[in-house]
Amino acid sequence: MEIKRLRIPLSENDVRTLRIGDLVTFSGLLFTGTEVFHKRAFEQNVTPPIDFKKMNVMAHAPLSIKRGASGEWEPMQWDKFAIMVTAGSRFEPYLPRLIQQLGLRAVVSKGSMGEQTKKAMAQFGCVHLTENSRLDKPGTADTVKRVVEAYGYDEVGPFEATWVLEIEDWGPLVVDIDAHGNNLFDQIEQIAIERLNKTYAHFNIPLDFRYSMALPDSKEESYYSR
Amino acid sequence: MSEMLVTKDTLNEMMYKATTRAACIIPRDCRQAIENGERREETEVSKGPLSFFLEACDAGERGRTLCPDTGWQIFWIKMGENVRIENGVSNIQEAAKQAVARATGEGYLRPHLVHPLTMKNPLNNVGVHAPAVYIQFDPAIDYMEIVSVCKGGGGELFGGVQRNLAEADGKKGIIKFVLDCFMHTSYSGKTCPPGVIGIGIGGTTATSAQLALEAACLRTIGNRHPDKDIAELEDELLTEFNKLGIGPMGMGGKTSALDVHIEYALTHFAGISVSFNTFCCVIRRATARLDLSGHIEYGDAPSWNYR
Repeated sequence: MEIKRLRIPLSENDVRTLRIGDLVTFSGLLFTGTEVFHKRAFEQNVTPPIDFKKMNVMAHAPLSIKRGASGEWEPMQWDKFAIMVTAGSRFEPYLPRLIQQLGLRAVVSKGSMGEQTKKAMAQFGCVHLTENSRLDKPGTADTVKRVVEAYGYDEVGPFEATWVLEIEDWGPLVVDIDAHGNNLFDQIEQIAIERLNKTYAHFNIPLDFRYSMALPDSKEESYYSR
Repeated sequence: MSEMLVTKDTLNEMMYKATTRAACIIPRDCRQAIENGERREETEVSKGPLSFFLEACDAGERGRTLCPDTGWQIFWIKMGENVRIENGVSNIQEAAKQAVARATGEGYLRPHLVHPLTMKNPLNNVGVHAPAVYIQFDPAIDYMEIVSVCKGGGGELFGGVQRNLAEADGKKGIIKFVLDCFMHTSYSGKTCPPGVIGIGIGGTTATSAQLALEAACLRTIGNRHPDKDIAELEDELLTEFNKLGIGPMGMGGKTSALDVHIEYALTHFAGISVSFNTFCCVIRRATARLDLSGHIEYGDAPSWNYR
């Protein structure tokens, strides 16, 4: 399968031409964001001094990088720098608005995002990508050319800092939400749900099965719902 | 049975080496299962995570951590009645903390365990109930075995679910809960599938959760419960999970789970607690066994059979 090699900053046209299932690599400067970045940007409109027009790709990645005794950046777990994305779904409360607010064109995490992010991505021209492997080839990773900046490192530590990284051919990443309202994982799930109904039948579980005791926060108990 | 004294230094060494081994060296049963999965997958995107994973295993042999997320550190310690610990058994807790702090300082574990409300990070993965240490005494053995597990965040946070059912919901209720959990937790690769699914049935909520955790972490792939009905259900669920098409990292494919392990405990006649747990595809467990001759054997297959 052809891999599309894209350079950051991405244009709207770049991302509108992508479709779910496409394989992509990125080169250029990207930034990372986890809890602290999202919360501050969302609640206080405070972000590190980044020109988001020039740097419009965000990775949900807590980096294992520390400042060494000599003041230089050093990898914590391996002998090279590597990007390790984390589950993006936990940023779903923030991301839909941040896509518009920051003008993001691509966001990379492990797994996928929810309905509101999908809508915002279609509206403003942004895609979500997942690492085909959770593991950025530890120890052999050579995609991070340089650590450019670590905003907030001293205050919030390495995992919450906003890192700016120069990367070369990071990927292949898989487009799982495109800018046209499609989600790759939802398509896979639809097939799985059809098959699950056969599995219920295999175990003689009726489709209208109801548990005798409800959970505190559940309304619908009849069959699988996400 | 002759007594065996475990010195503080031996204890520290076993715990530290088992922990660094767990973080870096993939257990043989897991590697085999991943290789089988990679052969079975047909598309580039479904093969991808497994191929990369095998590359990470090779890097692990060179002392790199298999996955950045080294999760929670858990120790299971099993010892015969003949084992004495220098300065007393409670030193095991302290040795576990020292081993984790050292392994974290040396870059084998990511320093990411924080206070749950303040997010304060001690930067060494050591603190209240961290690491977790479970001790079992087994009168039938004359050795000490330490199992060290790094329980990754994806499998644990997204792949851990519990529910108490009424006895009337019966086997159908249990199976439905497990199927729904699997669908929900593996969606989009949240739990880093294909992993090992641990299921705990019965006991108090704490017992069922612990059984699910131990089923996921301590039993090797391919191992079956001695109870024939339970073993059959393990096989059946594994087959059904893999028919769903969720695939490696949820990207679609034939390998959605590496194995299913079920443990049960006697339960109250009114209800059944069911727990679901997942060990992500990066199974990180290692063992250190000290025998009467003083020899320490490091390995990856816990002798977990105490029921």
